Amino acid sequence: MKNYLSGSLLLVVACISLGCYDCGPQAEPTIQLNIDRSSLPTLYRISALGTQSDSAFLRALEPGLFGNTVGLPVSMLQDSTTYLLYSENQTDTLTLFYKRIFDIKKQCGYYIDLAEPDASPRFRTTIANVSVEYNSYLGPTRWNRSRPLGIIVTTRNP
Amino acid sequence: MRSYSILALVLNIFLARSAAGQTVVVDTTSQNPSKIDQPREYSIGIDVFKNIPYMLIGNQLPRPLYSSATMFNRGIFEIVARKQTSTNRYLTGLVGYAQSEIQYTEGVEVKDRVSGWYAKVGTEWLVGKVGGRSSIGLSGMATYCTYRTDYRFNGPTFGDYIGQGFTRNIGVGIELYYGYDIPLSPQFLLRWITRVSLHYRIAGVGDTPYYPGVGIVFDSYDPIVSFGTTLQLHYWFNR
Repeated sequence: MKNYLSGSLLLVVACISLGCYDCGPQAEPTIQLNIDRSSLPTLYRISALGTQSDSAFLRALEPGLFGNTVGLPVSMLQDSTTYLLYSENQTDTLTLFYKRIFDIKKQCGYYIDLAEPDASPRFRTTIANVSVEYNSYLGPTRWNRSRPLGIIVTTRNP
Repeated sequence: MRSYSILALVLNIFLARSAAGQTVVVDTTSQNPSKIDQPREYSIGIDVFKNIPYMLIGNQLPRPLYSSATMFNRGIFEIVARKQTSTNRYLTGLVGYAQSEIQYTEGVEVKDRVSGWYAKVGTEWLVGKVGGRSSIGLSGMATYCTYRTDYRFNGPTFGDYIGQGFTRNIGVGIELYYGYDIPLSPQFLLRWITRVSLHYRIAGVGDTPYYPGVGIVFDSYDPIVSFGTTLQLHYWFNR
């Protein structure tokens, strides 16, 4: 136990001084969707085209967890993912385009990352006033820096 | 008295050479009679041990220090040449090929297929008494190996992504070894070689749990230290 404590303390000290490296999800990545409730006031369910399982979406919208920010999985099998956002009187779509990167890195071994697509559009949606920000899923983490952010989609008040 | 015997010896050599129709000039190498008895030898050999323990444990080596990995189908083929350059010194050269497969049960990587070539060139000195069986060798080595890796990113919502990666690695190193000679017959020699190798990868990326020419990698990335012991069967050509 003492060894474990000193070991983890050493790791923390090493991370602060040298910087640790976040290797990203190493699995299906998720995007962060920030929802302005005035843009989608009656949203009650999210899904996507081509899913094998909806449990990640149901978990994202669990009562109590459903705040203004939800994490949604991204397909690794194609260069876009189309989300379906079910409200009481309408169903909106949001198609997000991206470039998939599968490569190897000294710090991580094989990794997956997503980047802005080479060709436009970056997204297509029936929701008014949406913006998309592309960040890498990998990167160094230091005590004064937050984790790599990944892709962030934000809906604003129309 | 002593000068008489030396004179007698010189005269003897002179007469013997003259009788054989050879030159009377006595060169430095022929002054040593043991040189005439032992011509400079050279031999070519193969490794006869490295694959045996591996086969005896069922062609697979569980957990080569990566907790979830199993190494199997490993094969090592080495040809070695050794040539005497002076009374107690030899030049040695080795060319080898090694391959293996590594299967993982957890993590992103599913399976590695490793294969690589390597060459070692060095010098060997006889140690201990003259005509002894022990020698110490020092070699430089160059290695080239490739890793073909199947990997899988888990995708519970949309499906797993399965891909394959390919990396090339180039390395250099030095090897210090102790050799012990076991002559089997006038033509065959068994050599027991125990080595320590220091190797550094100068190009390439990714973990290399098995590095051809060096061995199992103990949780290090570019620098590798490894130990090994093996047997070589040599054939003497001019002895």
